[in-house]
Amino acid sequence: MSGFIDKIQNSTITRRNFLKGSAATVTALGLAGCGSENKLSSVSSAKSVDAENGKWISAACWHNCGGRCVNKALVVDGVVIRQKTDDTHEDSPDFPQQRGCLRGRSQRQQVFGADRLKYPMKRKHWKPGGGDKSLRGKDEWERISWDEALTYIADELKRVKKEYGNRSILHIGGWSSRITDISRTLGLFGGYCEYWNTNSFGSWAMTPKTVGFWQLDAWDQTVNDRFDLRNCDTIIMLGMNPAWSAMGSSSWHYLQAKKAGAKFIGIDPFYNDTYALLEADWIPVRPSTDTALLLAVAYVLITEDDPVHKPLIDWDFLKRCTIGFDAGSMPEGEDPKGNFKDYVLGTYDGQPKTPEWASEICGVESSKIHELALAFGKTNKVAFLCGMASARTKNSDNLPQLIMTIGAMTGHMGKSGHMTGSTLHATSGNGGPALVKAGSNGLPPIPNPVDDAINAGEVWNAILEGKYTFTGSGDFTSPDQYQPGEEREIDIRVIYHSGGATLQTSDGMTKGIEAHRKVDLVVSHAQFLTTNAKYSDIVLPVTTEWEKKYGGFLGGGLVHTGNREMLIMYSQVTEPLYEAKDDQWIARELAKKLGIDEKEVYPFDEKQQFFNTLASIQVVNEDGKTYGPLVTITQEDINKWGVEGTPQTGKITYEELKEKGVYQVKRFQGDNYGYIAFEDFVKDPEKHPVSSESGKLEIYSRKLADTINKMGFSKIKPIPAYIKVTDGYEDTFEDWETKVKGEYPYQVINPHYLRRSHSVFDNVKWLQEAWPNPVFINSKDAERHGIQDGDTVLLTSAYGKILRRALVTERFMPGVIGLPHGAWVDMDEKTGIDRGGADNILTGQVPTGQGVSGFNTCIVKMEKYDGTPLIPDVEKPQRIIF
Amino acid sequence: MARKGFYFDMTSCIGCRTCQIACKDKNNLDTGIVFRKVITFETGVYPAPGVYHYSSTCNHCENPKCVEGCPTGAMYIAEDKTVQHNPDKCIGCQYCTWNCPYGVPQYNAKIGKVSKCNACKDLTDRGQNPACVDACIMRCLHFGDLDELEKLYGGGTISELPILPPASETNPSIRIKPKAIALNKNFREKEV
Amino acid sequence: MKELPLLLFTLCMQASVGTIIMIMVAKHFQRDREFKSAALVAALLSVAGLLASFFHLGTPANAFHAITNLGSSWMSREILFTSAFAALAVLYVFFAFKKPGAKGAINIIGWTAGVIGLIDVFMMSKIYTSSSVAVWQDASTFVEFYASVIILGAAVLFLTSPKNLSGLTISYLGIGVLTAVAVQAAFTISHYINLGMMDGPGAVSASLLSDMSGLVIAQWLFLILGAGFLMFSKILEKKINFTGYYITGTVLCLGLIIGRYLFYAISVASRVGLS
Ligand SMILES: Nc1nc2c(c(=O)[nH]1)N[C@H]1C(S)=C(S)[C@@H](COP(=O)(O)OP(=O)(O)OC[C@H]3O[C@@H](n4cnc5c(=O)[nH]c(N)nc54)[C@H](O)[C@@H]3O)O[C@H]1N2
Ligand SMILES: Nc1nc2c(c(=O)[nH]1)N[C@H]1C(S)=C(S)[C@@H](COP(=O)(O)OP(=O)(O)OC[C@H]3O[C@@H](n4cnc5c(=O)[nH]c(N)nc54)[C@H](O)[C@@H]3O)O[C@H]1N2
Ligand code: SF4
Ligand code: SF4
Ligand code: SF4
Ligand code: SF4
Ligand code: SF4
Ligand SMILES: [Mo]
Repeated sequence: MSGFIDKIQNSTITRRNFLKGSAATVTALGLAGCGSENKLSSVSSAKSVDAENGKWISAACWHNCGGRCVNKALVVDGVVIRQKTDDTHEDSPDFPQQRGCLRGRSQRQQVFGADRLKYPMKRKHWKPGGGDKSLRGKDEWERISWDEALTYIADELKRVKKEYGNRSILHIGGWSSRITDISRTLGLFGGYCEYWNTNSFGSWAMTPKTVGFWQLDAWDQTVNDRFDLRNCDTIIMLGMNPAWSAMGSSSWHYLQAKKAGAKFIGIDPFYNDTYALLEADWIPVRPSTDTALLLAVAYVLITEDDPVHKPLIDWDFLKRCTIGFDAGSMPEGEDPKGNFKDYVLGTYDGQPKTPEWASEICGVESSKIHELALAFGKTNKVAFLCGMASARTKNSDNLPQLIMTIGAMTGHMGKSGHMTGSTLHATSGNGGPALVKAGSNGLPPIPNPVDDAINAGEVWNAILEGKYTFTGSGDFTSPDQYQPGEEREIDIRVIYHSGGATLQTSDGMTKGIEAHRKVDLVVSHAQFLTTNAKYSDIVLPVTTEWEKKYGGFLGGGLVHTGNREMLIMYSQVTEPLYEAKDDQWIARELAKKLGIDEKEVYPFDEKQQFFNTLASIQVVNEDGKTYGPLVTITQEDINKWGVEGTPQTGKITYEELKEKGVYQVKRFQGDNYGYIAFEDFVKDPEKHPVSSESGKLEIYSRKLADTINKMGFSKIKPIPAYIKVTDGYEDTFEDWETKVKGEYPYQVINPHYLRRSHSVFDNVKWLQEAWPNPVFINSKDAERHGIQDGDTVLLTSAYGKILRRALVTERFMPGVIGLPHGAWVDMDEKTGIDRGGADNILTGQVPTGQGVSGFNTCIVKMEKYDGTPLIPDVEKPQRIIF
Repeated sequence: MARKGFYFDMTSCIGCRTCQIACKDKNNLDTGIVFRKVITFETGVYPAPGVYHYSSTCNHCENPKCVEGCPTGAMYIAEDKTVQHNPDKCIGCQYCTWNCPYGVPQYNAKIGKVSKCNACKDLTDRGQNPACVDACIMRCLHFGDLDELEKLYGGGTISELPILPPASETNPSIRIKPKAIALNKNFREKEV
Repeated sequence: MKELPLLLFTLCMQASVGTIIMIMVAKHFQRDREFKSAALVAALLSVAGLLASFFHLGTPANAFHAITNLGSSWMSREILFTSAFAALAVLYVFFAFKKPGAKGAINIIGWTAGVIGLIDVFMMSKIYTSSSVAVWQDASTFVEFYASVIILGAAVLFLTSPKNLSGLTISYLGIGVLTAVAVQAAFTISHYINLGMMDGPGAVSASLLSDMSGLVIAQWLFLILGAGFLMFSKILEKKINFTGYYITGTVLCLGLIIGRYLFYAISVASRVGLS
């Protein structure tokens, strides 16, 4: 017992102490549910922390983080004193708890961080029309009232609309301008210019659907479910790192496959923790050169296949399910010479795509390529899995098609133990339809009357130069994106950031900062002084999910929302902090100032929206096929809440769901929820065509080539052929033939890093302490420059300069530098060097193919920095303004 | 009472540091104080590198040098045989920080005392797991009766590694299922 | 340096113990002398040392708990003996000044203090040698601490009572200092060599040490200079003047202070990955 008493006393002390620290000031404040500093003393003087009397609340963890986990906050006297994760049921590999990662566990440090933005604020030297624009990012901040803030914004929007038209308002809402609340208001205001990107997906954005590599209406459902992974002999991973990028249970699922006997191969420039965990055979490959490698694999398969003695290729599969593999299977009207096989063999271009040929480009020894090709052989049960990092590269539009081609050649599709495709994020290694399907809030969409949409690879240039390539409206999922390119004039006057961390996460930040310093007004909704906020004129403090009155739901969808087996319901943990307001409130209030009827923006309130979502959640029945409502709702409930709706019977009551915070379908080996991708198609391709024009897997895709070539960013062939990559390995040479290195001899990739989710959490001190964010440098390269662990290193690309502390390693290929993705820019205005190590300071505005953001295609020079060395990030001050 | 301690399956650990943060959260620790610390080590050379992680904390040793040397008895062996610290007695002499061969006790200048992992005694006394154990993404941390843990999670464990001091110094209550490369004497600590 | 209080504490206590012992030794040869000022300095040093040690404690208010673990803690034992020694040193001064007649009592107190002091220095050494700090675990810790007792004791006598010291006493003190410096040098050299061959914390200490080689040189220059000075005067059979003794005392003290600074500065606690 004494230990327990000690513990309490101990925590009182540490807590009091803690209250002096960064996060705590606000902890006390915010959770006391007030908006003034006065409450601080009353809470910090609270004598003891009594965990027993606390209440566990299901707390949101809502980030684009690669996971979707249960997170709970222990609230005592209005103060969050601790967190925990899923303990709603016993844990097992088959029916795992949805355990949260280190970021989720430090969520309270973020929500209650002393660096939360507290009030609306304005840049001191901003005036209608812009004021001194060059001061953006370095000006002083002035606290203003909500009314002032919204009036400034509304007046400037009206002025710009009148003088330049709605096209001059660039509204950015993260990956799609159409998804944030403000898009409703701005839509009713007459519209806005959109921003679109392919960010996560790279060339998986459009290629898969076009070539038929597409299941369940998605690009990443061509892999079987997690139980079937355990049936594989060999799991070949190309550019995958769930150990860092798919927190939650993905790595654990892969480990089950290993325990069941699967052997792993990892094709990657980085011997990452996933490969280490799975004891994968590491095949180091240079970034952006997978096409060359896989073409050589195809070459070995074609030249060594012997149906009797060494069956490598599944000819039956190729014949029934694909087009364009060889001259005999070419689509009508196309030159038979353009087929894939002859290209690989070099029949017409005189260049067989041999392992030797590939080796020079991709850096993999030819014997290793040979070995890899044999591992793919059709008699082996193979899962060929890839992330999308290898496709977040320039000129990679054919890569998904080539991955499909290799899978098709070897017949690793449509059968248990065989699968081919991309899989990452929260669904990594677990394909199949959602077993719990998210509901809908029922709000009618509001269209955008303006059709302009600028690709991420051109957006900052468009602002600076007044023109861009229009290729269709909306985002990368829109049916009318990817139209023939059309050069358009544009005169952007307002940048409105209502979501996403776009200046930070989009290509070409150096240009982006310049662009932000050109327009008349920049607005940001923000929770911290993020990069967007920092370079804005007016910053509106928004609430986090912990502050939302009705809470909400997470999961019930695929990839970026959650895994297929569960759905989370979270509740309000705290009242809004300080003067923060939610995006919907801002959308309404701004509408009023713009003379728009708020009822038009939101015909019904948040409570009704919440109810609609709750009531429309669907869950699979035990047959594994049919679905019914998840939540039981009585007329009484409806009356009590004062909403419109009809009673329904589901599997769980609202109260129980709220208390548990999660509904997870119980799974076991042999249940009815298993999934084999392409099963129907492979059995009967004619009856179950895939999404391509021909209904077959298109190894030759006329449409793909046409679409991309007409967009005008860069050219491809209908078959997956090798293309010299802009800023790729070959460009690290001044003279490729004589192998003389050029000005930028190193390639940089951006592993998604566990300190943060993109840019989110980067400001949390606990996480900075746990993950210091170095730049990873191969020991040979480091030696050449006299660089040792901890030295400050300067990386320079054609587009910008950054500093980071070195980590010298054997885990990166020589010539390849690993710069973790998402660090907040921290520009030294005097030197023009970013001390934060922001990846996109090094990238440029260079769109290729389907408008791909080629983050992992970047070349730099490296030197040991002789200026003031960097201090560890954890020792830097927080960005606290008021 | 049977001997209690941690079981750590290094072969499953991905070095994510969730256990480290769960511990910071449980104990409300400022930056600079870390009760559970995940440390990363590299071995080998390109193209055959190795990497492993060690999730370290107090080993609740059978012959704890921290307890032996503590002049005040603030560091003591509790009835459940875990090693506990009583801040009411601690004079902050920091002798334990020199004595523990694992570098576990940490001095907190703000409170003038040391502190360290208490095996989440408040939780285990109520039959729950320590916070770090329930947090582990890869389910590679366990706490309890060491012999039982071996039965449940596999034998063949050791309590000594090249990165650790000889177990004979304090007889740590730790069972490690090592990766083969962790037995390699040529290791390099890396702050990933 | 955060161990500054400990540096002061250990040096003050060792000086104090040394002084008391040297007084008793000197008195053995010069029965007519009392060395009152040296005794006063010894008592002040022990009190100052004790006070300094409090600055090392994060929570001095809890200090009364510190002698509750005599069963296993060398620190606990040391604190007890340090306190006892300091009390005796103060008592000695009290008698020397107030009851100069009680020669028997003074002798008993003095010798008892000396013995307690020597035990205390043993415990003080044990604190370090039994820790998990590799550089401290060596026998040279004992040697350094006891050498300090001799050298500092002699130095205090040189500094406080040069006029009162007879030639013979000076000879013996000189021989003591010379021997102490020589033995310490021998142990330190072998210790440093060992350190260079260690891995883990020892290796880190060795590299710290090599970064501070300037200080190492200064330390030994001072010690050798001090000892050499005495040796020189011995060989030449020349009586040096008082300034000579002041210089000798000061130089020896400086050497020891630098040495003690290095003792702490190169200490590296054992931890995971450094073993
Ligand atoms: N160089 C390089 N760049 C990359 C990548 C790379 O690997 N390398 N990866 C790319 C990938 S895969 C992606 S998905 C993108 C991600 O790019 P983003 O989506 O831009 O990145 P996040 O940091 O997740 O941005 C989310 C922002 O929303 C804010 N936010 C959170 N909650 C709310 C809210 O309720 N309201 C409002 N208004 N804001 C809120 C957060 O504070 C944060 O600023 O980055 C891409 N950029
Ligand atoms: N911790 C953390 N997790 C995240 C995120 C985050 O920001 N932080 N973001 C989430 C989001 S939105 C996304 S889209 C996913 C991204 O998830 P992933 O795509 O899995 O993440 P990456 O770290 O970009 O890349 C994975 C692996 O691809 C390798 N790679 C890079 N370029 C190439 C290449 O050209 N060829 C080959 N063969 N390999 C290459 C990298 O070395 C790395 O090992 O992560 C999600 N999870
Ligand atoms: S993986 Fe994402 S949802 Fe899960 S705890 Fe981490 S940050 Fe939260
Ligand atoms: S690990 Fe260190 S602190 Fe913990 S019991 Fe052992 S000796 Fe004491
Ligand atoms: S610091 Fe406290 S716990 Fe550590 S040895 Fe000193 S008194 Fe004991
Ligand atoms: S048992 Fe508790 S105190 Fe110890 S490391 Fe785990 S979480 Fe931290
Ligand atoms: S949470 Fe588990 S997997 Fe992650 S670092 Fe800790 S022990 Fe390793
Ligand atoms: Mo993404």
